Amino acid sequence: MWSSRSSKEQKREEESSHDTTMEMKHNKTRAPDHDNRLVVHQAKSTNREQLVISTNMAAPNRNLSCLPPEIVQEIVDLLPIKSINRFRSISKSLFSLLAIKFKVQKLLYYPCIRDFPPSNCGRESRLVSDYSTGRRLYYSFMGSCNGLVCLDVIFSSSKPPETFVWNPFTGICRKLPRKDYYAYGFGYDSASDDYKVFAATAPHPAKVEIFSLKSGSWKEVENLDREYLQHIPGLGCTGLFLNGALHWRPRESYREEKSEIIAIAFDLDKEKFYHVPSPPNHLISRRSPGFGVVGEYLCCFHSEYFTNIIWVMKEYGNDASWVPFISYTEYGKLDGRLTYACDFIPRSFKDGRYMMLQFAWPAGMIHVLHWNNILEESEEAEEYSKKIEFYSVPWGQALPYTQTLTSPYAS
Amino acid sequence: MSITTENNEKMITLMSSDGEEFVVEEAVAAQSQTIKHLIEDGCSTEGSIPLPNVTGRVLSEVIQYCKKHSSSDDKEEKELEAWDAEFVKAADDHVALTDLMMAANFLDIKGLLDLVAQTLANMITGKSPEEVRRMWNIKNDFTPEEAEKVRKENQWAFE
Repeated sequence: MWSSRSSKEQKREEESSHDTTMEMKHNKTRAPDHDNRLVVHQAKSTNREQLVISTNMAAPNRNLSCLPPEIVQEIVDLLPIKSINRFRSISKSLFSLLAIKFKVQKLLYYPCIRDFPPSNCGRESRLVSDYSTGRRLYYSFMGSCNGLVCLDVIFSSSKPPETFVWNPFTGICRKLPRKDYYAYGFGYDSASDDYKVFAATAPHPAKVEIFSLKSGSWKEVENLDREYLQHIPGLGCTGLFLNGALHWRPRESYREEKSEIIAIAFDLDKEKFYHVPSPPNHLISRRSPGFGVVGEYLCCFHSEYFTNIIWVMKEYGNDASWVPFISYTEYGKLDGRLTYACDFIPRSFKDGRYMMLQFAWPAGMIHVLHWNNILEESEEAEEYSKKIEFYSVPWGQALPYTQTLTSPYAS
Repeated sequence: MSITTENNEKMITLMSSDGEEFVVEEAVAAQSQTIKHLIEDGCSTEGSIPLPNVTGRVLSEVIQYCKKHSSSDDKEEKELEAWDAEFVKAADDHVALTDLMMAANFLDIKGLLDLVAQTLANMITGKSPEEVRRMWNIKNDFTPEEAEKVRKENQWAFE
C-alpha cells in the first residue's frame, strides 16, 4: 500500500504519453487500500516545499533533507511520541513537518483522565497520585477540536476551578486565565487559523467573551445579540463544534415555542449567533433532547417507545436535507434520554466508522454503533440492532478527540 | 535488452547513474514498482533501463535484497527476517542507509523502504536533537528565542 510520491509522480508523467487504457490500469494498481492513508499522503505533500527550501542552505553532504519529506515522515511515524516531540527542536523545517496531524481518533473518557495533567507539569503532578488513591477529580469537558481538549478542573473544593487546553496525545497542557462562565464551547476558526474558547459570562447583563490561543487573552464580543444567548441552557451544556461554529440545543421552553429550530449556533469568525433549522417534522425537534455530530453532519434523535431514530442534516443549514439515518431498538432501558452523539474511529482505520451515543440516563451509559458510509446510498433509516460496545463511564462524560501534534500554544 | 536464460527466465539490464550494468531476472527487478511499470510500458525493449538516481554501489545492494525476497516464500519468514537484519547491519551506517532509503523510494520497493525506515527510526529514537543534527548535518535555524519557546513547550520530552 505504501508507495513513494516522487516515483509516482514520475510514473504519472511517463504514463501521460500512453493511451487511456494504460492509464486506467495503473490507476487501479496504485489505488490506496483505504482513504485515511490517502489523507496522510496528501498532508505530507503539502509540506514538501518548505523542507526543500531549507535544504538548499545545508552542505551538499547527505543529510535528512535530501530525503523527500514523506520519507522523513515515514521514519518519524515509527518513532515514539517522546522522540517526535524532542526532534521538533532540531530545525524549523522538521518542526513544521512534525506538526502534521496524526489522523487517529480516540475516545477520551473519565478513566483516561488520569493522564491529566502530564506528570511533569509542575505542581499538578500530585493530581496523578490523587487519582491513584481513588480520589475523584471534578472536571468538565468544554470541547475538543483537532486533538486539543478544553476542560475545567477542580483541584480542591476550597479553590476555584481552573481551565486548561490540553493535547492528551502529546501531554502538552496550557493553563488559561479563567472566567466564570455558565455556557461554553471550544472550536477552531479557520479564517484566523486560531483556536477559540467561548464563554458566556455573567447572565445579568449577559456577556460573551472569547479567548484566542494565538493572542493569549480574553476579548468581549461587541454588539452581542442577547436575545439568542438567553435561550442557551446553562452549565453542563457544551457547544458542539461543526462548520466553524458552536451549536447548542436551546432550552426546552424555547424548543416548544420555536420548533423549527434545532440549534442556536455561534460563528467563531463573525462572532454572530444564528439559528439552525430542524427537520420538517417539528415534533422531532421538540421531543429530541440532544443532538450531535456524525462525520461532517449535524444529527439529532427522535425516540419513540424503544426505537431511537437518528436524523442527519446532509446539507448544513438546509432544513429540507434532513434524512433519517440509523434506527435502533433498545428495550427496557431508554426513553428518549439520549443527550449527545458523535462520530469517532476507535482502534484502526480498517474497521469503518463508529458512532458514540451518550445518555443522560442511565447516567454514564455510552453506546457505540458501527456504521459505514451508508449516508451516501440510503434515503431510509438503516435498522441497527447490533450495538458494538457499551462503555460505562462514571459521571457520564466522554468526548472523542483526534491524536494530533497540535500545540495548545498555537505557535 | 531482453535476454532469455536456459530455464526461460526473462532477463533485463539495469543501468546505474555511474554507468554500471546489472543483468537480472525480470521477476527480481519487478519487485520495484517503478521498474515494473517501465517494463509494462515497454521501456525495456529498447535496451537497458537507466536508473539515473541510483549509483552502482547502492543498486547492487538493492538487487541483493530483491533477489532474496523474490526467491523466498512465506514459510521462510523467520529466515527472511534474520536475513533482513543482517542486510541492514551490513549497510553499516546512517549515510549508507539514507542512500538505500532514497533508492528504495525512487524504485518504489515497499518492503525495503519499511525495513530501512524502521532501522533509521531505531537508530535515532534515543538521540538528542543535537546528535540527530550532527548525524544528518542539519542546520539549527531556530533563533535562541524560538528555540527556548519550543523547548519549553516540549520540556516533558527531554526528561
